[in-house]
Amino acid sequence: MPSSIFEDDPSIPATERLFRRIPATWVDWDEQGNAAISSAAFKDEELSITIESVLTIAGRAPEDVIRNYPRYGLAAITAGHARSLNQAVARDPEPEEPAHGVVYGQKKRRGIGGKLRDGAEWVVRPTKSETG
Amino acid sequence: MPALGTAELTIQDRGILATSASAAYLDYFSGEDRVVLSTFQQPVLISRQRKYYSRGQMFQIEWQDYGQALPSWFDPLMQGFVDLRTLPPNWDSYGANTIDPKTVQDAMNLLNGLLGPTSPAPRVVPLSSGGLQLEWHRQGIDLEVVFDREEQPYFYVRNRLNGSESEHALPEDREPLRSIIGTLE
Repeated sequence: MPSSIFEDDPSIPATERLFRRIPATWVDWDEQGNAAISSAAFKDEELSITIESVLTIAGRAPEDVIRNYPRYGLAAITAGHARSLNQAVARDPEPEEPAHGVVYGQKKRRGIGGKLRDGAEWVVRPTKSETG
Repeated sequence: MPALGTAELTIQDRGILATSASAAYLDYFSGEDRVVLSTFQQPVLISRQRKYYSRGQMFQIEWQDYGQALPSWFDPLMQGFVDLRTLPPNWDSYGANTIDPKTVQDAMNLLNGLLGPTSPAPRVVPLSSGGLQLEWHRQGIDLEVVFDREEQPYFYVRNRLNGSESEHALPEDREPLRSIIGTLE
């Protein structure tokens, strides 16, 4: 059960990029070396993300989100894409990550996780050798 | 190379794996082959074992069968399950749970006899909740079979070519699932 219920924050524009760390276990490599993300990466009801504009104001680059996670890739979806799938996008700053946010809503059923994934793009693409 | 710890699967796990391994191809050890065997040519059960390594642990699987060739999905599937069993807490960096062994058992139970000798292997993917999903992405079809903690298993299928999608409860809709997997070969 989620610990909180989040309401959509209209101050987050539709074009805002929301970053999500992607561990190797959620990456599938095809024969051409393309890295596909599993829908499992986007199925948490309370999906943790990092809000790009908050990073930017703090002078941090997107790559900073995975600075301490050398085996991870970094993917982005937009707030507008999340909202198009009946998700709320909210700020949820944490002491260790002021740019932390949440994409809140049911994602496990009706293929919502996969449809969120379909709108994701790599910001930092993992390399196959790093996935171990 | 670091020293390997040894972590055998539980007796129950091994039983399920053995069942999964042998039953899957015993089902396809054709009736015709059985008929032509005389009483002096009955197949003999032999003991087999296979080892899988994941994150410094070794898992040994033992079973009995008639020495048939293993289906191509066997090793990737077993390796996938073993890899789930060795995921540490917080493996997704967002506080993920370790994978519930029961969901692994449930998945193996469902797959037992569901895959044919030429079925494509699914990817075995962990869920942050501690569950898992099996994924196939072939022939324009996305198929996901989901086993989550304290939830009824289900499968979701989407045809990327015509946009159709549907969701089905398991084990009730096991036969439609078998049929869809058959179209992926």
